[in-house]
Amino acid sequence: MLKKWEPFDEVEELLRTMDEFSKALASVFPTRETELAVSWTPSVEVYEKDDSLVIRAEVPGVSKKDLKVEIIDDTLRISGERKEKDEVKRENYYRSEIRYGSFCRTIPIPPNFDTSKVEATFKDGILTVTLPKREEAKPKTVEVKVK
Amino acid sequence: MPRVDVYETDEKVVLVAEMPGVKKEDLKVEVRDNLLKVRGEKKPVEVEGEEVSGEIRYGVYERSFVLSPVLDTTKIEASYENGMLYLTLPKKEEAKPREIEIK
Repeated sequence: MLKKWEPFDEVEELLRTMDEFSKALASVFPTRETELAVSWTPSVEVYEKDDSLVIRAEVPGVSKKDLKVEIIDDTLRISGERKEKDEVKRENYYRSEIRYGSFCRTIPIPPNFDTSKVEATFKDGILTVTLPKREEAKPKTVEVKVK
Repeated sequence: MPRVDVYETDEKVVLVAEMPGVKKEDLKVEVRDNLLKVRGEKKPVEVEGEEVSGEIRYGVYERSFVLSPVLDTTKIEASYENGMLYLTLPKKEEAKPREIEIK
C-alpha cells in the first residue's frame, strides 16, 4: 500500500538517531553535565498554579550545603551530592539499597515563568523551587458590562 | 517501602532509611520482642494547580526488621535529618568484641 509522504517523520527519525548517538557518546565520555554520569536520580514533581510553577525534588540525605540550584537559560538544574555518614567497609553491610554520590536533574521551564525570581526551600529531604508567573501571563479577570 | 542501608560495626548495628517528605511527628519506630518496625506517613502537600509531571509518591513508608539477639533493644537511638531516619542499635556488652588479657 502506498503511504503518504510525511517529511517531518524523517526529521523526527533523524533527531532520534542523533539523540541516541549523543547518549552513546555520553556513556563513553561521562561528564558532570550528562545525567547518565550521575549515580542516582531524584524523583521530581512539577505543578503549575495560577500564579507560579512549583517544582519539588526528593533529595533525602543531602545536606543543604551539598545542594545546588541553578537557572541555565530556560532550564532549572538541581545538582548535588549525597554523602555517607560513616565510612563503612562494604563487607560490613547487610543491606545497601541507598545510592550515594552525585546527582543532577534538569527541568525545562516554560517561557511564561519568570526565571529571575526563583525561590527555593529545603525541608525533610524535599527541595521546593517556586517560580512566579510573568505578570503578562497571569490569568486576568475582565468585567464585561452587559447592556 | 523505604530503601535502607544496614551495617554493623564492633559496637553497633546502624540502620539508615530513606523517608523524604515525612514530618518528624509522623514518624514512628517500634520494637516488639525481636521485631523492629519503622513507619512514616508522607502526607501529600496541598497544591491547588495542575500537575505537569509527578514522580513523587505519597502514602505510608513501612518496613519491619528482625533483630539479632545480640542487640540491646532498650538502648536504641533514633534521629531524623534531611529526610533520612538513622537508627543506632547498640550490641549487648557481652556481644562486643573484647581483648583478653594474657596473664
